[in-house]
Order: sequence, then structure tokens, then C-alpha cells
Amino acid sequence: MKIDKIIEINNLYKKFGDLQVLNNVSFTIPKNSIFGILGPNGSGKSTLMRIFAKLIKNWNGEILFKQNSIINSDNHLMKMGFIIESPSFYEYLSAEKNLQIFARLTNTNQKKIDELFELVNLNDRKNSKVSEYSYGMKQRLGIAQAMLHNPDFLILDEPNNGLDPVGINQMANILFKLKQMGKTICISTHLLGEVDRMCTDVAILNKGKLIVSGNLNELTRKKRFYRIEVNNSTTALNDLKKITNIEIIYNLENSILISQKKEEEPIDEVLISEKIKSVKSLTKESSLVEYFYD
Amino acid sequence: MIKSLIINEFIKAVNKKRTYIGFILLFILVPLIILAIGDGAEYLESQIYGQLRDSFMIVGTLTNGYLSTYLIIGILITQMPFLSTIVASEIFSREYSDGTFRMYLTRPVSRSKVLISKLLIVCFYTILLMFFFVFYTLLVSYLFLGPGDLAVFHKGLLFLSEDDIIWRFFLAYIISTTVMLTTSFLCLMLSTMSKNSVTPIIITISVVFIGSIISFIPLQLFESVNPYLFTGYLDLFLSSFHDPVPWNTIFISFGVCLFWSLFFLIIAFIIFNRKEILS
Repeated sequence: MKIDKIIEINNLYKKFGDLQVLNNVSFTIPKNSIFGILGPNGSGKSTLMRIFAKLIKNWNGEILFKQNSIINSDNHLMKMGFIIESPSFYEYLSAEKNLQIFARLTNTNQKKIDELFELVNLNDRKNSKVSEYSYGMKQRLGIAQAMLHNPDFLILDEPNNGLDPVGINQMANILFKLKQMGKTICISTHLLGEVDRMCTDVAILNKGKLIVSGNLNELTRKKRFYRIEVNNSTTALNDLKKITNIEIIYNLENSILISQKKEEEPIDEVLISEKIKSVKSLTKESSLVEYFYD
Repeated sequence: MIKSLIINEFIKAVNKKRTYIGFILLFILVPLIILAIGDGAEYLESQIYGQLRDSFMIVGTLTNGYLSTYLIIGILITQMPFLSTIVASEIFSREYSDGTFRMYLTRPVSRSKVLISKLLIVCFYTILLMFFFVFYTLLVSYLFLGPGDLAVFHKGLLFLSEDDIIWRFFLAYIISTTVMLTTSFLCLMLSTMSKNSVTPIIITISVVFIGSIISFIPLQLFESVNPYLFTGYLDLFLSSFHDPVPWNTIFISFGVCLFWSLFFLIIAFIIFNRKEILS
């Protein structure tokens, strides 16, 4: 049977004390996609990635990797590679010794280590101590570390963080190469331009809740997005629900995000024709993700 | 897998400068003390055996390599927890603070095995450091001051003949290492809880300090509690030089140390296995 999704998350909840960090999150990650997890700080992105990595153990819900639950098994870790937050190495050791340490945990041979130094273009610096590496070099070494055991699925938490434009380009090239090699890559990022450039699919989180997820092409290129400011969201939502050709994506206090297919009649004209007075202002968003960073 | 984990921990430990601090300090400090003992032998003997010279006629000198070793172990044993816990204190906490666990633990390895590998390195380091402490002191003392009978106080003045001493130093080494291992396990347990590698040392030393107070202050409450505390056996190595050797007390000390070691390690296992790696 062909499996077209590599990860399926169902009703995921996580609390730290009284703080609900993830609240009923459900989405799927398609195979061989570059999947972007987006959201402002505190939205739950890193927590979600840590759950995949089993760095966080107590959570509720279901996560399936290739249709197998990860809750009581570490088997999925053999097929996943991670960079969680910034890549952190044993700085007092050389880059090669660092990779050998990780390689020993998965019985990876020296040949694979050498291949990865080539892939991330660090071959001439592999004997330098990691403490002598720039941040960009550490990020690339992080990719090599994540790739050591030849995983199918890579989870990279903000891989472009702290990189200069050259470093971002190098990183993008590596990720495209990995996609071509058949890998599925899940990244979290704040750089919206990179989302448009690199990601095929996205999930947007805010305050632990999933706002929207799906194919980026479907979400952004075939739809228009509007932010509607209202005085009373209950009245406005009731009014908006009467309009058939729009989709209410999210309601954040008195700001409502809606979408409509591009072939539909523009919403501003609909609002006038439907005489909806609860709307204070209407702003067309140039992309879906920008809404959450305003 | 456990073999790979142990090799990893070994590589990490031997590549850290901090691992060598204890060895370097002892390497420098011990010869200096021995030289001082050799130089001030007459004064030292008058201080230790002063009044006995009125009752005994001592021909020659009592100061020799064995007495020097005995004194140095006695003096430095209370400081050894500072050195023996150097590796244990940071074996978890540094990985938390440096964020290396974020990568290390995303591999398909059980946390219990990771803990066992670290535990073995702590054991190895503590045993090696204590071996170096006792036998380096013995070797250098022997070379500088030569052999001779050892005069110790036990129910009066006890003379141990030259050929009856070396095995007692081995016994002293085993007793003191057992207590020091328990101290290191306490520090390791604290290291599983802390992101700061200084905190476990400070707490461990505080525990040893409080334990010493309990064992030295002659109060009935303290005297009844002391046999159940591992810190009460820190100077038990002295009993290796008693005649007869109090084997019963020594075996009790092993039991008490075993109990506390298991207690610390079980807590460490529980904490580390449940720990959420958030930084």
C-alpha cells in the first residue's frame, strides 16, 4: 500500500504547568515535502518538534510515523534526523569526532561521515574544533549530524536562524538536494520569504492552536486572504457565516481571518452587497503567513 | 549499544581539561607535603609522639614513607570529595546547559543506557583518582623518605612492622574509595537535576560537611544517626591500621554505602528518564 503521508498528528495536547502549549493540534505531513511549521514565539513549534524527538515525553494525543504510533516506541528515531533549536556540539572536540560520537549510536560507518562532510561542504575543516566554527558552519554540521543515519524524515528547528544571506542560500541548496534525494523535511522558520521559496506545505500555529495546514500552493496561490477588524466578533461571525463563498480560518479577539477562492467575487463587494455592518475594516493580506506576524 | 555509549563517554571525558585537574593538583601537592614532612621530621615527631618520649626510648626516626602516606591520606581525605566529584558534577548538567542532549537523545538510545554509560565513567574516574591519590602518595613518600615501621595511635601506640603495612594501604584504598564512590553518586544524582555544574559540587560538599559535623560532635542524637550516614565513614580508612582490623565495622560501612549509592542512583534513573529536555 502506498503511504502518501509520513506523519499524522491527531488531537495533540501538551501542558507545562497551567500553560496549554499545544491544544488539540491535528495535521499530516506529506511524504517528500518540505513542510514549514510557522508561528510566532510561544506558538508551540519547538514543543511539537521536541515531542517528535522524544525530548518531551508526557503528552496526550496520537502521532503516527508511517502509520505506526511513536508513543511507546523509539523505532521512529532511527528514521528521523533532528536539529532542535540551534545545533549544539561538544565544542572541545573536532567536527569529525563529534560526528563519530553520533555515528556510534546508529552504527554508521566512517565512509558516510566523509560523504556528509562533502555534502555540507566542510571537508577542509573537519579536523577543526567545533568551538572554532562560525554559526553557519555549525548549522551545516548540524545537517550532517541529522543525516548520519540516512533518515527519511528531517526535522530542523529554525535552520536559517542566525545565518547571513549566503548561509541561507547554502542551507536552501542543501535542503533542495535532500528533497531530491527523497527525504521529507520539516522546518520551522520565521523567515516568510523562505517559506514561499522552499516549503511545499505548511502548518501555522498560534498560542498552541493549529490555525491552518495544507499545501502551500492550495492555501496561498489559489486563494485570497483578508483580515477583518470587527467591533463584536460574535455578531460579525454570525453575519459572515451567512456568506457561502468564504472560509473563516481564524478568529483572534476582534480580528478575523477569512479566505476565498480567487475565482469568487471579491469579498469587499460581497460585504457591501450583503450589507454587513459589523465589519469595521477589511485588509487584503498579501500572504497567509503575514497575518500572523503583524 | 552500551559499548558505543561507554566509548562516547570515555572520549568526552578524556578530552575535557577538567578531568585532569584532580590528578594535576595531587601530582604537585603531594611531593610538596612529603618534602615538608621530611624537612620537619623532628618537629613533627615531637608534636605527634612528644609525651611518649618520656616513657619510651625511640632510636632513630619514626618519620618514613609509610607514616608520611598515612598522614597525607588523613589530611587530604576530607578534601577529596572536591576532586572526586569534578567529573560527576558536570556529566549531566553540562549536557543540559550546552544543549548537547538535544542531539544526543534524539538517537534511538535508551536513557537508562545513557545513564549507565555515564555512571561507569564516573566510577572509573573516582576509582582511578583514589588509586592515584593513595598509591602515588605511597610511591613518592617511599622514594623520598624510605620504608620503616609505622607507628599509629590505636589503644595506645601501635607499631606495625614494615612487612605488615602494604596490604593495609590497599584496604585503606578500598574503604576510602567506597565512601568516595557514594559521594560521587550523590553528585551524579544532583547533576541529573541541575543545568549548572557548580551546584551539584556545592550541594555534595555541603552534605559531606554536615555529615562531618554530625560525626565529630559528641551528641547522643548525632551518635545514634551517624552509623547510618555514609559521611560517617569518611575517615574509616584509619581503621585499616588498627590491630585487629575491625572487619565488622568495615562491612557495615560497605552496606551503608551500598544503600546510599543505590538510593542516589535510583533517584537519578527516575529523574533522568522523566526529564523533559527543554533547553
